[in-house]
Amino acid sequence: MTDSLLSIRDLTVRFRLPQGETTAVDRVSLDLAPGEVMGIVGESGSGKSQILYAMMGLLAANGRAEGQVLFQGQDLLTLPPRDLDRVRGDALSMIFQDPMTSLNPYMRVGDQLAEGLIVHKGLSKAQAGAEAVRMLDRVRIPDAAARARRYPHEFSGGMRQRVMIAMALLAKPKLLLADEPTTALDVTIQAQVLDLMAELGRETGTAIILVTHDLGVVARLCDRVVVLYGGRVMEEARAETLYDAPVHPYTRGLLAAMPRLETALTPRLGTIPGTPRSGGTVSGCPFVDRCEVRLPHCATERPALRDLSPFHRAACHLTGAQ
Amino acid sequence: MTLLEVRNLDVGYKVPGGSLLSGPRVLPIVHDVSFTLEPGRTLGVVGESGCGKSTLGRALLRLIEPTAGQVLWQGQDMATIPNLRQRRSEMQIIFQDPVAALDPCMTLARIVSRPLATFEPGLSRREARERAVEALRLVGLSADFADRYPHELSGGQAQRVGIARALVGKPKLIICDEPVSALDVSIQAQVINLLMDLQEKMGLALVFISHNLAVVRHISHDLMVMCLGRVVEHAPRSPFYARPLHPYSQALMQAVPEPDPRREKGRIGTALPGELPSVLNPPPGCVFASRCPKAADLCRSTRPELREVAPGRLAACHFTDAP
Repeated sequence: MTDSLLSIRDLTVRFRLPQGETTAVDRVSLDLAPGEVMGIVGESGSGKSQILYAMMGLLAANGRAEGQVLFQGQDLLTLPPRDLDRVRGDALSMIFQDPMTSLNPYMRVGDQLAEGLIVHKGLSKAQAGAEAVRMLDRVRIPDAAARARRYPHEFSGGMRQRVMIAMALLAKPKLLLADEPTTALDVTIQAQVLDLMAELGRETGTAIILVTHDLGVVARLCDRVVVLYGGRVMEEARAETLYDAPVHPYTRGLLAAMPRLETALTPRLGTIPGTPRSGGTVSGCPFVDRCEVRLPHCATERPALRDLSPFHRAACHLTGAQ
Repeated sequence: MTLLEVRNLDVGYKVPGGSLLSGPRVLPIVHDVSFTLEPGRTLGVVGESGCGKSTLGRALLRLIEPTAGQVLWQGQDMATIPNLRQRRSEMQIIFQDPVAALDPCMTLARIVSRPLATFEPGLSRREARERAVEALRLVGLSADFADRYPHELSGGQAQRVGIARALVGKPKLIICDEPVSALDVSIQAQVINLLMDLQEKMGLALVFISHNLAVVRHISHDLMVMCLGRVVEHAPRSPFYARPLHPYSQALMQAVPEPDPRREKGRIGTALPGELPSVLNPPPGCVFASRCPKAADLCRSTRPELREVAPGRLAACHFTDAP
């Protein structure tokens, strides 16, 4: 694709452990257009966060990434650290689940915001400070000018996450990576943060990759959804397609297990038996031991990610057979 | 017979006084909560962080002393009930972080049988172990789990062990304090279904505490919504979900993200601005007035009483009428 902002090819992330090597992300390929909002959904151990960490060069010391991550034509995986620093915090930024541990507790919030602008955009301290206050105001921090002189511990959880968003969007990045940004927040505060991401993303034309375990959050924000299991892409589709007509047994299982507010009450929620697998290499489909419709060769043959329609891909032997 | 009756319960925590010389004062957390719970029923308690829902859960078992009001267990006042330590076998609790709730140095059989040392001290080690294995089986864990340690478990399995430990003394009530919030979606559904199965099988009453209205809907017969330590709405499930009456309940409902993109896209931009006031500095009027789209001067000055607005439906709002 020529118009893609991000093009990931066969990204594989492995970790060295005392008991040997384990694969957390297994040959994942994704494309993202400018301004697009993509959700990556998965349970714990699916490798969803490691994709983001690999892109940002933030993998743990025992981890390494292979494949290609082309961002604006540059392969982030082979970029020298100094060049990577020029991209991170500028065209590419990231927000995390826990806004408290991502802010420096010893630094005033306004100074933390201004730092990036001084480094990346060469603004003066005064200019950057004014820009920081303007951005805090944009993310609806009340009394932004006074608040900018405060420290992170003086902010509530919701406000801290809004500060993180302000920081991430200050440099008007082309791509924002969001790792479970609302998981630690109450639902009403989560709604505010999601509103803000949708609004600012649209305004600045920033593309977003939202990693979450919550199919509801994805439904609110994302144009396109990737379902990950055991480090592999199980299904990928436009949001409407994925929720209306999921084909992979794992996607179907996840949707059936979601408690809802308005559907008719069933005596019991739908379930997927067993527990999510984390990492490890399998020759067949990683979902096979939890799958209720498996075929004999699912355990031995890896199902290819096949196109079902131009915007719908799934990796399941069963869908291939249809 | 009513299993649990709560009358005008207040709960607070002792905090240091304002100055060095003044004695400790009580910071009120839960105000004037009343409800009854029958065997085999589930009360869902919903609210955001800091609303007092977990404090309430602990006070029901007298793990925290209430500051005022009464908790009646099968008609007996919990404050004066004799042998409370033994009687606690009838009322158990499970927690949000299932791994932290288990002693990492004990095998699962010992963890699960440990309460029996208090409740049934006459039991031999072998009998206690058999009871533990039986309880593990009830929650879907085979006998070969008995000699494993907590670190070998996934989050879902650890929560099952927590439930087994609660079941081993044959309880009548289990307080479930956010038991599925830390679990993966597919595991969350397994645990909710398990609790519903156990309730059916054993006639258990449950108090199910959660911040997620969608989760609570599946398991609860009645709902109680709390905001800043006060009950703002209390209603049976069906009418509540058909139309919540308190603006705070409506806001909570609106905020829950659901797996339906068309509906969710329409909800962008509908989040209420602002945050809940602090418990340290509660407003004089309605607890929700600062964020309520319908708030009037009356709401900011006078606290609305919890009143019956329709048969069986209580709401604390000046402007709510019967549905």
